[in-house]
Amino acid sequence: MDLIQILAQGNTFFRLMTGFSVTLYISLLTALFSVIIGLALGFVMNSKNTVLKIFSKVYLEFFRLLPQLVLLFVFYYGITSALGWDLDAQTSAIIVFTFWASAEMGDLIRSAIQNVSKEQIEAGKAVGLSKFAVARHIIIPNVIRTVIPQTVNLLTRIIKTSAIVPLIGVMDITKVGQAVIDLNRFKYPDGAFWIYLFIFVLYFVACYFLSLLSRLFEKKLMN
Amino acid sequence: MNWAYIANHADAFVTAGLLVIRIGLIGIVGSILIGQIIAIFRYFKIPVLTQISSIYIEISRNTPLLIQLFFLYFGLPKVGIKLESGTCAIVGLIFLGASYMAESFRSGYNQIEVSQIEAGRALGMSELSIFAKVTLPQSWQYSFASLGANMIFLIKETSVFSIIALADLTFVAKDLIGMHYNTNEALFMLVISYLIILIPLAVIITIVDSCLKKRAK
Repeated sequence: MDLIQILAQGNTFFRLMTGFSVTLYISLLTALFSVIIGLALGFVMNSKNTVLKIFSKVYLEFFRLLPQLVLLFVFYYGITSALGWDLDAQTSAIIVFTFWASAEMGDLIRSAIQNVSKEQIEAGKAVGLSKFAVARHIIIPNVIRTVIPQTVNLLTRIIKTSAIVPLIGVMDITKVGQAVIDLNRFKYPDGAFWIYLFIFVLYFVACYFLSLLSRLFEKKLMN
Repeated sequence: MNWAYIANHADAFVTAGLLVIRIGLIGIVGSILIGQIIAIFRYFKIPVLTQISSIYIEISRNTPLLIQLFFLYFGLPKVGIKLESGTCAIVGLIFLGASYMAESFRSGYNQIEVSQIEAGRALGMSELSIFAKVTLPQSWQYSFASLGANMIFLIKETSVFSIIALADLTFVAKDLIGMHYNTNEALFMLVISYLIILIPLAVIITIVDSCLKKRAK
């Protein structure tokens, strides 16, 4: 099979996997930052302060409505040069995706907090729990239960979104794949089919694994 | 900000914007139709078709559109299937969108109370007519919000079509940046173009959704 022969040449396979690790690195860092910022944002969205509420709502809608690629272009080609920053494409991608994913994460937290049943909170107060104890024993466990599967889902969305980074020049698996295809243009003219199929399968395996994990968490935590 | 430059190049963004709207609309309509069919397969648990649909949904939802397009546009010609870039964009968008739409429809069907379906059975209605007269007409009010979110998602995804040689909005913006270095103007126009397309769509979806919910009450 052509694919195996192409991959077996020199360090082709290793280079492709290094490319994929760039995607995973961007995704994981984005997820880490977004979870932290999203947690704070979720509480802000639920606060009683109208100004904060409106501000967070506008932030959420703006970063949700525009395509991530447009945000990436605006940041990488526009904002960094306007501010005189010398950021590389990979760091820019992490920053932009963090802005977007924290908006999504914040919204997950917000709806999870709102969906905690009022009866449970009232019952907690009725038995004399303090405000802090209500949060610690009622709100937080309920929120974690709904938010964990959704966070894993968000991670698959982040991975799928990271596929656009070659458009601002990051050497991810797609870019490496293109180089491999070009190198083998004459020896393996059908290389494009096999390499893109390989990349397709790799993304599928990573995201499908996370989807299964999310469903597993959902089942485990709901019972 | 150089407003004269923006005025001079606005037509390029209008052309690209119309292309995005056209492909986006075909993609949305196609995804809804195919998504509905797939949801029906799965609802009636038609053998073979259900399994194929489930596999398709997993593949479509767990891979990025960009990679799907690369495979369609650069990979498939090597095995004899040549798609022109416009067709490729539509096929890619429907391949991505139909699975999301199918899931929205399915969650809509699941919201219908079992008692209503049992009532239909008690009256001697066939499963098909229960679906057509009870489940389907009512499922819209439950699935519409999620269908709408998918519509916005699909329009957003059109931003990667430049990789298969379509002159979409991001392509025009990048082209202008490369030609004249008027980066701020080009990016400003890019953002405005997408907002002009997406804000009205989001508003319409919200209005239709609240109308559907009101009518149901």
